[in-house]
Amino acid sequence: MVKILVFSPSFRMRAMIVGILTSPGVEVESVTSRRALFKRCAEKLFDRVVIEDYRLFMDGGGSVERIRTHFATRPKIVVLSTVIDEQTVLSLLECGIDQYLLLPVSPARLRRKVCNQ
Amino acid sequence: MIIATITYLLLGTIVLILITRLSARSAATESLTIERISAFVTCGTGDVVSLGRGIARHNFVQCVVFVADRVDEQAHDPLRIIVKYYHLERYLLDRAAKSRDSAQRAYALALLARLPISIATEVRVERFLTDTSEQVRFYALMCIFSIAPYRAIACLSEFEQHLSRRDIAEILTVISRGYCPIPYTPLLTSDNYNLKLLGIHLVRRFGIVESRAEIASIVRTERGELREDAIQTLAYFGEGERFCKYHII
Repeated sequence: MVKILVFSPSFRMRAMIVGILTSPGVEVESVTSRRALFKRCAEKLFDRVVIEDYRLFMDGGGSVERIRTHFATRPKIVVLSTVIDEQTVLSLLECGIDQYLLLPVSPARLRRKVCNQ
Repeated sequence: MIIATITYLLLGTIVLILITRLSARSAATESLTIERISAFVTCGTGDVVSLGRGIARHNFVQCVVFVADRVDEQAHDPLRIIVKYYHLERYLLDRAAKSRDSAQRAYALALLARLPISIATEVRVERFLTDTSEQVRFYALMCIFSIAPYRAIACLSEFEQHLSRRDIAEILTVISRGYCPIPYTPLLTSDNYNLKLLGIHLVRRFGIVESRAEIASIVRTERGELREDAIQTLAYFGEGERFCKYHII
């Protein structure tokens, strides 16, 4: 069972990502705030965390460490955003995220990237 | 007096609680609808009948548009099934045609422009190109952009009003999804204000540095917003210093 946690400030985006990722063999939860995200990551070990708010990483790698409280490399962090600026994307990858996907996104590709890898 | 004040305060509190609960329920319904639509769009198959259950039609359209805005073209076949099954094109066109308020007409066309719609809709949208409202005319143009990409340039060159930067940003959003591949040179060398403005922003958006010569020509010959945007584009390409040196700016 793949455990996925979804975070987005927008309830519509959360609903959309949950709808795309929900499938047999996948357990999807969503949180509404950064505090809830860090709290949930500390309580339970997820396989993937999908975040639709790149501003969460404006503090450098601090948020990544708070998400990966149990292991240095888990959960895998996938960021969805509309930002296409190369420097921003490189900075996010240097912070420690594993995958950056640009919106608009292919739902099948998103599901494949998050659920199967 | 005191009793009246307390009564009004109590009534106000009750109304506030009711509004909060209604909006929470509305958000919950929207969330569920968006989840169902996203799942349908991801799989490409499923029960299309249950998607619109328990939600008002206009809210349902907004949910479909929300998903359509955030998925790429590969996911548009399932969206077309939804649009066709729920007759969303006809619904939005009727809404635009019957509304007396230009803002509502523009909004209906704005939603229509963001859906994957059929070529047959183009004829019904063309009548809005001569509407009295600028916003309605613009969103009618956006509908034609999404229906018939290769007609986009011709429509834009015939467009009488000068487009704003915000309008250009909306067009670029459509272009960047691959809806209408447009060569930049004819845009930059055109005499039409709108085409030139679109060309400047297009090359900046996609980092087409090969267009420097054409952009520099616009800096020399044009004035106002076109010149400003051309200068900013050159600066974006790292050419600002060179043009300052030769007193072109």
